[in-house]
Amino acid sequence: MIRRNIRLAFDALLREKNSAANTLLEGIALIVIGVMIFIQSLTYYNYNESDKILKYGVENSGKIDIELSDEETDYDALVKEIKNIKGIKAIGYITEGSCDVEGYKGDFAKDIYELQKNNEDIMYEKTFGKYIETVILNYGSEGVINIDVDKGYNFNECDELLEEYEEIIYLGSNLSGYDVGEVIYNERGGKCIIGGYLKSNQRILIDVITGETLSYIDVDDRPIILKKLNTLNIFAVNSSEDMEGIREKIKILEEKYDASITMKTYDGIFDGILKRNKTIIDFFEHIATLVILTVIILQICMQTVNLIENFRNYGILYANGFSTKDHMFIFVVQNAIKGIVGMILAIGAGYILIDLFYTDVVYSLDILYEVFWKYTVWKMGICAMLITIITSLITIFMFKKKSPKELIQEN
Amino acid sequence: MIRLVDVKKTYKNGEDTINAVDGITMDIADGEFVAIMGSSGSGKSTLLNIIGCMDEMTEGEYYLDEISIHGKKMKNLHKIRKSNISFVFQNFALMNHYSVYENVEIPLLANNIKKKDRKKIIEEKLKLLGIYELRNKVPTKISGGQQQRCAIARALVSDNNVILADEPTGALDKKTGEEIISLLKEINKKEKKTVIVVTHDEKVAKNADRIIVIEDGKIV
Repeated sequence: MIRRNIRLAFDALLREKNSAANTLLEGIALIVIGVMIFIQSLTYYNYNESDKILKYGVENSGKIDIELSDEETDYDALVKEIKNIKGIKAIGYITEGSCDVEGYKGDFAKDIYELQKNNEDIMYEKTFGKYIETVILNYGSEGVINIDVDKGYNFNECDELLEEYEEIIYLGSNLSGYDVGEVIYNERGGKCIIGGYLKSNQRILIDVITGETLSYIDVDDRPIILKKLNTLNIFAVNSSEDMEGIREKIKILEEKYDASITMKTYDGIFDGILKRNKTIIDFFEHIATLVILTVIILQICMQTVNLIENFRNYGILYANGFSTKDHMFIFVVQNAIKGIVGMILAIGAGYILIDLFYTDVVYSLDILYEVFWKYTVWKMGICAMLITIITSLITIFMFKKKSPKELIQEN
Repeated sequence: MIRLVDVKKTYKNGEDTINAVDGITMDIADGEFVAIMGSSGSGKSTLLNIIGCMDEMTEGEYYLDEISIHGKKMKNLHKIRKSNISFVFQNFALMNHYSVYENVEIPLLANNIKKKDRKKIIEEKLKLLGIYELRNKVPTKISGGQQQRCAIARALVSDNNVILADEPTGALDKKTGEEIISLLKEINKKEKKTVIVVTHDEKVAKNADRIIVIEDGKIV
């Protein structure tokens, strides 16, 4: 009986008036809904992912900027004093880097160049020559961010190594061909050592981009170069309550060294971004919600009308012995199939749209796909289910109000 | 046997009450060919729909082979239709996106007949009605007479004892209409089916064993 009713539902979908067009409309409706949800989700994603990337979360980590009024100032002494402030859990420097392929002796950089060339997300060639994309980390930064070594030296083993080697190079999980402990030489003839391989699917927070958002990059395809640097741009504290005490001490240092030192937690930065853009964000949220609701209601109406247009056929089935339950099953199956096909179309279109409109200014393509799958697709699925359930309920209600005679007479 | 006792059907039209069927009592024996005649709006189609469990009566009693129909809810009447009653409509009531074969198949699907058996029964009836070669065509591609033959084939496949035909020749030309009535007459005689035809055409009604005339919802 179930097979029979499923067959009738499929027959109706494939052959009845306007069914194919309505299925396509369902896909378009879900695409519109998906775009609204996707854009909304980017903000939440940014905050949530940043929180995960930071060892002590967005509330207890942040950005530090130092500006000196006098070039004569002993910068190293200032940095040392900042590092020693009680309450500072870790402090360091992370930045995206790029290195000329000729920057390392031998084939090291050339091998990485070949691998990175295939990844569209990474700019592998700039105006002045061939480059590989790197990440520069000064020793201590790993205390601020969550970054794990898969095999090789743990970060707490690097202090002594950095006495002997200028750089310890960790390779992203997609890179291979070098042994842990292998020695290579950089363009200055500095001795470097392969420190190990990082666990896959890790990200590093890079910087605040134009004050609009935080940005992070995947490190699977990059070498991460660990050095002893005296430059700072990130910090982590024991707790947000300690920040007041730390700020007092920073003020003292500012006066002592005639410098301007700014410390902002990432939570505060997000807050600032949201406050600055509050009107736009609120406006978009309202518009997005309105659009989603309107599209759902419109879609329910259109699908219901499509079923009602074909009530005559259901009247014929009814007159020939099919029950109300059979019809309910057929309506639900039809609507569910439209929803599933609509979802497939919308997911396919989502991939194409992301690819078409992607720019690498803020997010990597992988991150956009992650937002799509983690935050968008399941919400689209809920909207599709809502459309299916409500359409089926309305149709069944209207169907049951009519006798077989009235149904057969429907045009 | 079909027995109706003081059956009434009323509709509300705003503040007015319309008595479409107004206290009809009648018996129809097994194997009878009955014509129900009346002018437009006399209540004959409404009466047929009540007999065919396609519409609920407001008052009265209806027995079909000793089964009490008047006590049953509308949503359960499909079982009665499935096992006892077949229809032939004026406008043929065929599904336009199904072929002739698939239209005839519908009552057998409702009765969960296996595919192999369905094929055998459908082909037999299509051949009986002379439309076997049209089995893969859709209704919009065949003539009115052929469509009505398809509808009659659908009415026959479930082997129900009662066939109800509401103006079966209404949409057909004279010659084709006569062919269809002859077919129904033949089915009545050979297969001993009870056939009830609603018509306003005297020539059609003359083929019946008995004519019941309805006026203003009452038997005249």
